[in-house]
Amino acid sequence: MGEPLPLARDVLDKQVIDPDGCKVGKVDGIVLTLRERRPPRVIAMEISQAAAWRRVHHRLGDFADWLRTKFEPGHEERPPRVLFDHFVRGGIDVRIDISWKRTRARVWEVWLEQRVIAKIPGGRRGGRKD
Amino acid sequence: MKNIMNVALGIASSIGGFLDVGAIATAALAGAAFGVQMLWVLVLGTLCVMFLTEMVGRLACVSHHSLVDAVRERCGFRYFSFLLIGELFVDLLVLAAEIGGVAVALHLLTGIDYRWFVPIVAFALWLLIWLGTFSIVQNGVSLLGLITLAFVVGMWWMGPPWHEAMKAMVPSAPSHDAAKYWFIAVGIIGALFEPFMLNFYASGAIEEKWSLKDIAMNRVTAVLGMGFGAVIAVSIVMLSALTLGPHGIQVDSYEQAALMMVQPFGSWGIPLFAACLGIACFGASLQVALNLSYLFAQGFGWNWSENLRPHADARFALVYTLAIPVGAMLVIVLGDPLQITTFSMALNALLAPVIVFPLLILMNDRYYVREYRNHIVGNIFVAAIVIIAFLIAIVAIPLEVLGG
Repeated sequence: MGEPLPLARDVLDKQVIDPDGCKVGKVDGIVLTLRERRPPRVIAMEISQAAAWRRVHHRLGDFADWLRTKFEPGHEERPPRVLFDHFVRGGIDVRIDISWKRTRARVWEVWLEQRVIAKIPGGRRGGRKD
Repeated sequence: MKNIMNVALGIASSIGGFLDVGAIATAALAGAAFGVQMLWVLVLGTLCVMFLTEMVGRLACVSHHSLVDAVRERCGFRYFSFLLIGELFVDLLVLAAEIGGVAVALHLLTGIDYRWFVPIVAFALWLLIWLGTFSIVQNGVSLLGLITLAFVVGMWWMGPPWHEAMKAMVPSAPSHDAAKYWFIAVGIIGALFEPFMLNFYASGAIEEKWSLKDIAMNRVTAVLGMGFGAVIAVSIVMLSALTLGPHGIQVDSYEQAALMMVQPFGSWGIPLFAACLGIACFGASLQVALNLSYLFAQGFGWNWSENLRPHADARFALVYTLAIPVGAMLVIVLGDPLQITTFSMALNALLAPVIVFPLLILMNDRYYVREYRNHIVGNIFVAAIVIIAFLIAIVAIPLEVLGG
């Protein structure tokens, strides 16, 4: 038995950071799987507006999910998730061992970069201003 | 030497940040309508905001989390969603008030209707955030805000009523227009407790990579910066009381407020007031617009930094790119920038508990601030002032709105 992990305190709503220090998103939901005659198992962290708004009211969650399936680039069935196998440690931030590029958490960020920001003068180059 | 320079720069930019359209408008209103009687509100509010600013800076130094970031994490998404909606609404109104303030300043200088300047101001604002770095936004424009020291010079020139001012440090009730008195009191507190300012300060500390070694600098910056800012606000109250009150001029517009500078500075008075108003409001509008981006990016865990090019934090850039035109449209649709200002400042007082109470929880949470937790005096003082301001706001806002 390892150390117990208080999910609500150390994982839910915390900032997810990848190995390069990039911000991936917040943990908006935690996905468990139910197993017969065994305790539930944590399988993934959801990084999704729909999961977050569903915690305020189920209708808000449904609406956010409808928007996501309708407009999100790629039209994926499932909201972005990071498997719990990639969880490194919790606390006031959650560290994971895969790059954000291997998740769909920043699909909108990438779409905006390419389709909107890059079309505004001065919006093509990345990196730091200073 | 470098540390002293940093502290001096921090203090100068805090003064610039302290004095915005809300502080100028509410101080001018208070002085014209009630003389120096409301100075106690300003002093009490400043003490409270010194505590709050120091706290958010300490939170950033120890946990490397901004206020919004930590509130979402500590209080959960449900609570954050209320904060998000409340702050979005109030910040957009404050942004409209600040853009309106710059436009009115240009109107005072040129005589052209202020509405013509609104799109130009909004574009200049967006361009500076799009291209500029955090230090340009924070230090460059705020340093220009030191021009507001002209109010202090004007007050000295007029010979301040020190004896009356000292007596006004004791809280007192008005002899007339009680609803107006308490509405202005709520506005003064709201102008000091602007939620955007607290999160902007914390975000700035993270942008500038403050750490444990900066805790002392944060304390000095918070106390002296807010203290000097309050001196300027007190000067506006006194100047307004000395120049507008005796002539029965009630501040119903910025044109009337500008008259306070005519007696001490003659023909230079109006342009000087316009420069103070315009620069202070422009600096503050940069901060509000950026804070809206910080609010969304930190709350949803996006990449964010004003020092990154927009391509590297697209969603962060998108928020201010949308917020600025919305703020500009609000000025044109709602009209009368002074009324937008006073109303949005009163709403700030209503919103204050929503952000201050989670801050107090965080500042007593070993998980976030380790051994750098709050002293009980700070907790009680800040909680008491915020509750009183909130209760007065609940009563005074409907009274003032119903009374026109």
